[in-house]
Amino acid sequence: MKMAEMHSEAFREEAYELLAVLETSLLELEENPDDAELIGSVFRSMHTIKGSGAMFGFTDISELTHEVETVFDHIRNGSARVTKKLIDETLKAGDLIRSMLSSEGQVDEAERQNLIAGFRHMAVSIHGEQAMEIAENSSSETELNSEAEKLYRIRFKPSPDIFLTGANPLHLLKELRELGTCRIIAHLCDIPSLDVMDPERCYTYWDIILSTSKGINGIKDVFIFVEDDCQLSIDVLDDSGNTIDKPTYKKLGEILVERGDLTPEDMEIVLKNKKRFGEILVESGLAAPSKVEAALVEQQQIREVQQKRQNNETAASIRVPSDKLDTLVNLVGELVTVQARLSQTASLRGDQHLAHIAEEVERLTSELRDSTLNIRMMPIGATFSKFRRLVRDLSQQLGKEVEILTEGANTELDKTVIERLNDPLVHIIRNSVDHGIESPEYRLAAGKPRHGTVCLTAEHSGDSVIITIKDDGAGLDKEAIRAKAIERNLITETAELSERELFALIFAAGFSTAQKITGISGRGVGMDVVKQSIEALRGFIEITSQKGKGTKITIKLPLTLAIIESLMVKIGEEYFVMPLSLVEECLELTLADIELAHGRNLANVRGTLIPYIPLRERFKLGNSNPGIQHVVVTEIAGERIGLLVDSVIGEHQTVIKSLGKMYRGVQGVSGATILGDGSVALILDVPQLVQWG
Amino acid sequence: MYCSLEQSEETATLTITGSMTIEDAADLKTALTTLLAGSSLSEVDLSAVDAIDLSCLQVLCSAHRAAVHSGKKLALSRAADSLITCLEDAGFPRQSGCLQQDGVPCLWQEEKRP
Repeated sequence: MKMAEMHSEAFREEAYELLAVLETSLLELEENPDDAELIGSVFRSMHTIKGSGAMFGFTDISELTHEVETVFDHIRNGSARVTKKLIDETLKAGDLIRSMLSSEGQVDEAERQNLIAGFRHMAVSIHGEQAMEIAENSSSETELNSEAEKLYRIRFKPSPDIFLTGANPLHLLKELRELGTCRIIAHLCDIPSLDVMDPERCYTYWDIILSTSKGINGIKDVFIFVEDDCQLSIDVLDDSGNTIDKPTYKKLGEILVERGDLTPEDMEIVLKNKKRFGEILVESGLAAPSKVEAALVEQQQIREVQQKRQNNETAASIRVPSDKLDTLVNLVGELVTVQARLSQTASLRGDQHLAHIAEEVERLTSELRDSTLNIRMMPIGATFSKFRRLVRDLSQQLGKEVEILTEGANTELDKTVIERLNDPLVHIIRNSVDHGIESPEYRLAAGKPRHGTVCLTAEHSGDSVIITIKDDGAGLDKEAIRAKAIERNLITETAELSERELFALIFAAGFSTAQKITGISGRGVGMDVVKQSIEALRGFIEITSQKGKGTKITIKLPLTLAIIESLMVKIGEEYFVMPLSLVEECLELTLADIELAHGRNLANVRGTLIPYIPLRERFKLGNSNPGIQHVVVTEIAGERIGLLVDSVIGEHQTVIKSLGKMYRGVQGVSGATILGDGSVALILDVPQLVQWG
Repeated sequence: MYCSLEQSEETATLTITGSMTIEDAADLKTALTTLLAGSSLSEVDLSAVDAIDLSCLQVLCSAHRAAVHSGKKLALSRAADSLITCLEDAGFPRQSGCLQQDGVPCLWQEEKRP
């Protein structure tokens, strides 16, 4: 890849992320139109896209973002307010930029011009014709600054006869304020009493703490015309963090409180009575109050900078292409496999020395494995925020009022799982908004609040993550589902189904009870695909619903797809593994037990009959049953079902390998893993086996 | 700048209108000297002042200093918002006074928050 291409690729990546931030901020801004932080975030996203877009030759993009930025600049300055129209237009602009990024050359130019004209119009109506000029000037200035932000201490002492030169020191201070965050303290102690003062002499001087990215030259430029008529000293307070970031250890009081030797309340009382160091200095006449105050201002500003920097540090991260991570995970997977071989070989040889090394390798490998898998963990929040947009657009389209609530956005899941979870979730949320939530009028008539709520939550539960999508809409109509299922010959008219079984029917292919098909959902394709996708992720999906109250869909997913904790079993000479999370318990099954069941595949577990699937038969592994077999009891969708195997080997760290193309269609097996001795064990697809019967 | 002096029994009030710039500094000094010469309780009403520059701020500060020295009181009445911005731009507002005398607040001192 050429250098230029690499740069524009990096720009694209960055821009996509910024657009995501933009969208989230806009949607939140719609709810809190006066939130200065959100306005700032929108402005910054646009500003960054504009700046780097121009740098890498995406002039179309930067032209558009410039107009958006101009309008948000006015809003930031408080000269205009956020309107729904603005949010709509900005969302559109975001979409257009996204399409401009992905398809160079094939951009809807008319749309772009429309948007540009729209934003120009908004800017003009905010501030009259002048607004445009001001914005253009200010933005070209901001683009020039590239230096990092630093903190400066400036002492500016104009010569006493500065007024005679026609210079106004206050104007200089104003210019300084424009450079960045600025605290100014005037020292007035040299002003004499009225009878002796000369009104045309300058007695005042200033201490200024300025945080700016314009550099020392930018500051000097301000004073360029009075340079010869003043004393000016400029010190850098935090040159690359050396001066101000020195760690200071805890104060005495803090240590005592921490040790429990002093209660926080007592400390408060003592501190209240204690005079501050500044006060002591002033009282003893050692320092003028304004000097102390100026020093305090400096201290405060530095604290703020430190705080800001600390926040930045916690957010510090490096950008790594995800395929590099995938390679890393694959390598770790190989390593885990080889390590298992090493451990096995070491124990077979009985070599103490080798066993010691193998143990060491095992420990390191497991640490490496955990931290590598951890790198791939991403908070699900990014996906959640996409749904805000979805719900907003859908409810507008359908004339409904729907609010989306999210909880647990910080819950982390494997990157691949999150990516593959997107489509099923979109589908479920569409269904909720389209079929679940009723129209505002209907809701009011039913005594519900006007706007419906879709609640998305994610939480950890052991080695799984549970995601729920809950709406307070109409709920599922059991009778309609039953009637439809009978019509489609899925159940007989006399079938008695539990609520859970009945609801599970909507996952059947082509099942839809919707009266009319809308552009959004109702065709009956979907819920079956949703179920398949979730199961492909080794997850489960379940529905509960109450008519008139709402529907809740629960999805349980494994944390990661790369390595799982599993149970290894043996049938004949073959090894199989199954996810440990599915296993409830293991039981012995003797030939006598089998005879007692009269040829039916039922095991008596403490008085309860549990059906089991004889895997030896299922996989056609011959008929030489050993005297004692084992039933591994699993629970799937609330049903306890056993799997009959020859013997249970134990827990196993399974690195999942997908099967070759030829074997994709094989039922009952979802993948394979390589064992310590180099042989292959198949991973059982338990839900599929159970479904298969 | 236009000044008018009003004298009541206890208080003398100097009302200033217009903008206070370097050209007015000398006049302001004279007006303030007259104000302080009279009553022991003086007030300067700046509510109709739209802008003030450094030279005039210095004169006000100096007058306050003179008042304190001679045991008199000089106070500013509520100023317009634009004037407060002028003061802030000049870095005048402060937490504690410059005068190293107990209990005498500075002319520019912010009211202590409870």
